[in-house]
Amino acid sequence: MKKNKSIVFVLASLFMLTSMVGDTTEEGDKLIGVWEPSNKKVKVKIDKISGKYYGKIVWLREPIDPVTGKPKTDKNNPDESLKDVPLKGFRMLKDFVYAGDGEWNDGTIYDPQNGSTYSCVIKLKDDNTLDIRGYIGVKTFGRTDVWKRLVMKKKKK
Amino acid sequence: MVKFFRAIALIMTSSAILVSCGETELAAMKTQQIKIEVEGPLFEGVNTGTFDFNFQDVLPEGKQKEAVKEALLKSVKIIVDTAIFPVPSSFTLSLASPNTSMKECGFLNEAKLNSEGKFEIKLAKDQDFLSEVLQDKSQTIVIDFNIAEDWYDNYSIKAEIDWEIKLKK
Repeated sequence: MKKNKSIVFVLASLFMLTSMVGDTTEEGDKLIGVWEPSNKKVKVKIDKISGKYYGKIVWLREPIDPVTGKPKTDKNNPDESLKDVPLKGFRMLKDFVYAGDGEWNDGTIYDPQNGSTYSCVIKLKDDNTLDIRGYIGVKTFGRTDVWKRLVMKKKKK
Repeated sequence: MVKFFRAIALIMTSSAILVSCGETELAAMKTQQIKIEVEGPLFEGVNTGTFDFNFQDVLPEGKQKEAVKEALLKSVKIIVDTAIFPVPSSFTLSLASPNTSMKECGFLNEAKLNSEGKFEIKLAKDQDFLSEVLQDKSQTIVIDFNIAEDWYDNYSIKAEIDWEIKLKK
């Protein structure tokens, strides 16, 4: 009888653990989608690769470089050999891990305008709004931008 | 006396260089062939294909990751069946692992097929970051490709990756 109770206890614990892991993944995946920063210069698609979250530029308000007449590239990249990487498709958000409570951390944000990479934390304010805080060293000394989710409009029947 | 110490220093430096050179052997170039199936539908613009692997499987038989002194990407060629799939206009190649940051390793703008009918990626000159990525427990190759039209089926990409691996003796 005691043995049966132990088996039930173990199975129940396993079930609870599995559902908790499932919930965390589901919560973390709320970040997936297409987002627009407050300056509306780009649209960034966030997706998940091998358990971490990444955001790539999928749309640019000004896709063509006025100087070269060609699609914009990452001309401020500190690595000389990567200055011609196309900005469309560039991953400006990297390596975010869901920490729970609507927050993703351990990631970085890249600013293509100056070629700098900052530590970054993302907070989900509501289902369609993110607080993106870029900082150097300590979170206190940083800047927060508000990003909005792009929601597909349903066609009128 | 100063001359004596200079001579000793010179001998010690030379010995150190000789020892460090002697510690490394160049393994044969290894070619890794991968196939990525990207689940459709794909939309116009930049799409992503990923391939998870363990760098251990690329190493010569009997060699462990810990024995790798240096590894470099020497060439990456991408093969797309252009008779079936929309032809990408650009590619970006990145590498990621669980405990390191994803890094861009190469790209190709205004993609054109080479004489072998493959897209040859321009690789980053600075590949110092690779050692840390390749020592991790697993690795992910990320290929971003830009297509000009929507594609409603799965999309298939193959790649030939040439690694130059230097091993500790």
